[in-house]
Amino acid sequence: MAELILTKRMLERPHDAHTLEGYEASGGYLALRQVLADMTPEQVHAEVKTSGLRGRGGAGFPAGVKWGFVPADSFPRYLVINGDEGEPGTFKDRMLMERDPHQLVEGVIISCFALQAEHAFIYCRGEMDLAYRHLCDAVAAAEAAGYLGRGILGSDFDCRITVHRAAGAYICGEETALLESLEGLRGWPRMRPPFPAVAGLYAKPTVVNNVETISNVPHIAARGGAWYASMGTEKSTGTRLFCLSGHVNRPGNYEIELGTTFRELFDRWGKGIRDGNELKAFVPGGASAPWFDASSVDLPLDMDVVQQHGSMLGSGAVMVMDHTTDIVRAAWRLVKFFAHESCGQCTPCREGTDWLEEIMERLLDGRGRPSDIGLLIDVSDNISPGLTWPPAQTTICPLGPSATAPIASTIRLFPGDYERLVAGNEDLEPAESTGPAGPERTVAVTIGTKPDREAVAHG
Amino acid sequence: MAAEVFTGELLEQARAKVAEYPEPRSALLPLLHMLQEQAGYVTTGGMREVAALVGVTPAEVYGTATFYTMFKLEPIGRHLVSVCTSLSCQILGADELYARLRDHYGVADRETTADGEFTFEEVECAAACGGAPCLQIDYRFFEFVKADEVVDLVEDVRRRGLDAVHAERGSVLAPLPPLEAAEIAAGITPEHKWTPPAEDDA
Ligand SMILES: Cc1cc2nc3c(=O)[nH]c(=O)nc-3n(C[C@H](O)[C@H](O)[C@H](O)COP(=O)(O)O)c2cc1C
Ligand code: SF4
Repeated sequence: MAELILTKRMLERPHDAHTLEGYEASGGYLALRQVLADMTPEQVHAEVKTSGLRGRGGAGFPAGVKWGFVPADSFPRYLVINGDEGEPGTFKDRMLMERDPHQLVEGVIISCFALQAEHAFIYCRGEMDLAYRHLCDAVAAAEAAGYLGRGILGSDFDCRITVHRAAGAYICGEETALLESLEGLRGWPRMRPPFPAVAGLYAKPTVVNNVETISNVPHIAARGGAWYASMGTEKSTGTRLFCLSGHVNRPGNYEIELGTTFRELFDRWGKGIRDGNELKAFVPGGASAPWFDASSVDLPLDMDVVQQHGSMLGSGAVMVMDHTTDIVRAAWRLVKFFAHESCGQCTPCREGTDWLEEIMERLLDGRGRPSDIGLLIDVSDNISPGLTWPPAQTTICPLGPSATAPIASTIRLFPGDYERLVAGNEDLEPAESTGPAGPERTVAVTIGTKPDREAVAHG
Repeated sequence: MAAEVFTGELLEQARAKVAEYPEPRSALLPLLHMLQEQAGYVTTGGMREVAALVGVTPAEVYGTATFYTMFKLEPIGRHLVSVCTSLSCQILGADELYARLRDHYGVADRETTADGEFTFEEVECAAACGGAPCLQIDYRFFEFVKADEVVDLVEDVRRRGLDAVHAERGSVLAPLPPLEAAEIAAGITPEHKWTPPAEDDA
């Protein structure tokens, strides 16, 4: 069993892990002292590279590699922490920010040192009132103790942190939307390139990293990249927080070495499916991830293996559904989420997600037409051509394509659940050429070819 | 037009906020939060003041404010009850929970009770799925809420105030990883206690 890295302190000192006293009493800020006394920015960067640490915000990009994209001679540069956690099923960053904010703050300072950035921003989800206050308190305490500010701990390194409170918009978790939001604008994702590492906040080089990603940095700096890489699998190193929720007996955040199986996560940590029920489906990595059925429980929690099997570990949100679950209703709920959160810039996403939601609603209301199943696939295919994995993108950001994941995967895995809803509804089928005027007609016209469900919805 | 919201101490705070950022415009969201805290919602006059403070037009402030669900453009009740109905909450009964509230108070989504006490809203994932179904009252978390108890919970807030009720019935801090002592003893926590890094092992 691997050791706990991120959650150790909060488990050992549940009452004061979030205070400076509690943090320092359990080894806090020693890594920063060590870095400033003995290491160069390049050395810290090298340790992070060696650690294999991959982003925990969803995409799993290696942090050390991303840091390397910052142009060598371009200043100022910024580090922005993504604490907007809003992916349905994810609740780990809130715990890290509320329970161990200094761990993040120390990680930010060390990362800024490595990046030679003097100003960092922590973009904290607006609804997380307590997390915001704990972060503000932590930054103020760190300043008072000399860990932030000018000439930190007698070195010539200056660094400050601004905690920024967001205001409710899931799309602002997408890194370029986040930067727009941080600039005081609507959270509209930007076209790439340029990537934020080259031109991000105020068009300056900017590294955006997730809360959990950076919370690992003090440990890597103190104990070395090789130590971190010795845990987990070859390409998914270290531990990871998995947010287990849904129909398990013991939901919660579990810090687990990568490579453990879903079965172990459900049975050992989640203490099995509630009421002794059978597992029907699970979402392996947040709302944007295609679903799995019970036949996939022996897959390891390994980013690449899950990717090869047509889904992703994403943000670490694992949502479990037992055999009593209304699968179509559950999938509809996520589609509704995407429709609500679409920022509206791209036509396929703005229009497509709304239509998907409405067609799903029609199915659930008993007004579904037998052709609706093909229509769902067709609309999805228009948002993300081919419905491949990873999804093809016709849009500025991946939100639109993500909305197709719950639909395409559940139609593939549970076709009977959809067919049951439309059985006997042949009479609701609109006549070939006399559909009603208005929006409904518009979609009917776009059907054109009805793709073969098996071929298209392979998730 | 004379400023009505950002005066005195609040004006000082707003100016300090603006100064924290390399570009003033970045303080737009923080200032809108201040405005909403002060005025109860994002008022038109307040938005004009924010515009002047960060150096953009009132239309730009309005354009930004309307993008974010937390900013309310009309007055709301004394308490905001936000019920999460996202997937993990939904499959554990959130729809029923929210229906009980709406039925009891005779309000629709995003409506306020006649006495002005509570506004109810359905929200997307509140990041408390481990405690589903969950809700927030004025952004304080309540987890594992039961449909049978939800009206009583809200009424309790009316009777005793949010602080008392949250301390007793809410999640004061995000729940810890739910490990049992035996599991921790069995090696889930590290065998090695944290040892401060030695001076020279960089
Ligand atoms: C629609 C959308 C929402 C996202 N939401 C979040 C989020 O809430 N938190 C997060 O850390 N990353 C989120 N991401 C990923 C970020 O764009 C970005 O990849 C990440 O913050 C980078 O940090 P990392 O490399 O440390 O993971 C989201 C991406 C998309 C497309
Ligand atoms: S894909 Fe959707 S959310 Fe993303 S930029 Fe386009 S419209 Fe906005």
